[in-house]
Amino acid sequence: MKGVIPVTTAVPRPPLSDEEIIGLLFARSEDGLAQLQAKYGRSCLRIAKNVLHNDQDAEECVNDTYLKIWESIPPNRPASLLSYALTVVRHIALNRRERDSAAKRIPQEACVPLSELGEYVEDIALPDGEQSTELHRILSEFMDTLSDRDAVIFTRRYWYLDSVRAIAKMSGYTENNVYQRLFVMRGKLREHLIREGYPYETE
Amino acid sequence: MKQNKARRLTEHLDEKYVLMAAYPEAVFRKHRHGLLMKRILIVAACVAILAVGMVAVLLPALRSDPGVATDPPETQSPLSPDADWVEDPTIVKVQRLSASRGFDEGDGYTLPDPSVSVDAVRAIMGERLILLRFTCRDGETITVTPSADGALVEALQQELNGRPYWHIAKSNESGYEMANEFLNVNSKEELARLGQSVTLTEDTVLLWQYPCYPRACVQDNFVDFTITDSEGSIKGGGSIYIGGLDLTTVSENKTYYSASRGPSNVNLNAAYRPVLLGAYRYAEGTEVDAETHAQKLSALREKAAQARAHLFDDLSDDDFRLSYRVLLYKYGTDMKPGISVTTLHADPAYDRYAVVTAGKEQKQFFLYDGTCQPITEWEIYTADEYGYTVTGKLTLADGTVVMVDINDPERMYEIILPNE
Repeated sequence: MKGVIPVTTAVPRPPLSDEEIIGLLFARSEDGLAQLQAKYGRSCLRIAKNVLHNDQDAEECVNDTYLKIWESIPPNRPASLLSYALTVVRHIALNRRERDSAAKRIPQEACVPLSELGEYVEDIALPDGEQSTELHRILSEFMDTLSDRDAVIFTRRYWYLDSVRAIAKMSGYTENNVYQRLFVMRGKLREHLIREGYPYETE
Repeated sequence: MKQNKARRLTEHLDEKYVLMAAYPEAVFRKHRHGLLMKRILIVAACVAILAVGMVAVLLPALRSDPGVATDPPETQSPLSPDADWVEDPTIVKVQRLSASRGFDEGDGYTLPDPSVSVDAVRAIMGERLILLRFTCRDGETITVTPSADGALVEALQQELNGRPYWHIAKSNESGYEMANEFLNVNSKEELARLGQSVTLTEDTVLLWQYPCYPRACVQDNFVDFTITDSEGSIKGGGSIYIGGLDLTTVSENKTYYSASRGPSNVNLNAAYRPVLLGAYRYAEGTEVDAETHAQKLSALREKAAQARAHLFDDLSDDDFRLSYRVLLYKYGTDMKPGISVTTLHADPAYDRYAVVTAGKEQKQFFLYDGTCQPITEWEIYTADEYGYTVTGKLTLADGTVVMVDINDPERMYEIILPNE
């Protein structure tokens, strides 16, 4: 199925709304994918590049994302098509990265953001499976304690996997300031997780 | 392992934060705007500091450069008053003692018609006397204070025929006695004896005497005066500069005639030109104490000193080479226009006087009144050893022939023009 759906058609008209694009996808119109690419293609590609650090791999990853969306909508009807597409591309990119890393095609430590965050949660027993909803709540509570700026910085760093330099550029802070803020937020997140009852893992 | 935990953790991040982070500009716009404003303010502050610094550095340099920042000096005109000084030339005015009117038969001396206006300061110049006429409102008091450089100033007033004026020849037919009395005042102590304050009314004449004999006459002299009302409150003041250029020269080939020294090869030139530096009246209702007033006068003096070097700019080289000033003037209504008057001696028997000055060449004499009518011919008949008496004939540029008879037993000069 990979590469079956042609999505290179240029769309000169203004981008459609998420509902319209989803409607096209529900109607199984390939134009829905074209509209998706026109509207969120760059955002998806950016995350893919942040993870894979390779343009060709990122392009392939984005195409896989369009295919995944084509297959999942319908039946899914996301409230935010952007969030849905970014989540899919991030998931695909990280999976590809894990696969390539296991195959020794890229160094393990290439994804710096996840590595630096992982150091703060490495020894904490995070819930999984059915407890994931609880993790979502706890994480949201932590995020709610942050200012909008810090929340964006945290999200751009550990979800979008942006570089510190890119975050500094978009925020207006210096790189050192961004580093300092991330350092403080990681510590607060760790404290928050411990306070919420996630004990240390023991080997 | 740790990356997997981090991934698993972040995959539970709520969608709203993902969407918020998708458009970071909306969140950071205010912050970036603040940063921009801060940077603009910092740059503006730096520019302002730099500008102030440059002004502080450059302004003194500009001020010290006369070619850049110094206004051209004024000559023979009042200097600009300070903000709280109001120039009022109709109240205080120093005028040239015009010769348009002079001697009145039977009454001795009278003063010129007050209506004769001379806009700038002029003076009747003599060897050591300068007459200035102040025009003031009745009842005004003017206090004449000797300047710091020691100029002797005397202000006297006499009443004659109901008109206040200073009468040089008080009781003597020629007036020499009175004149000599004052001419002999050569110290501050004597000046104090004569008094330093006089009530001025219209047409009051002040006699200013130089402590010079003869070289001191080329000193710069500043005379300050203060105008007070009947209660003694300061109402204004001014400063007068009376000075000249020391153009003393020595010539082996020329003989200069000096009233005081006679024939000499020493050119004792003093191109006197009294100038009113400023006569001002404070704005109505202004309370001025003596100290403040003194500061005003000092400031005026300072301005005067700056302009002093230019007081004689309009004089020709020949003016500067004046070596001998023969004073010839005429009392009467038929005074030739442009001929100044400056002698303390007048005899009604002679109807024409004129001021003439001797140039560096004995045959190049000028009438001296600032407009200088040239004397085209000059012939000396006699000259005694000391130059006290000189006779001769001069011809003015307009053809007028002037017979000269200088007889200076009192160190006065007169050139007598025969009755026509």
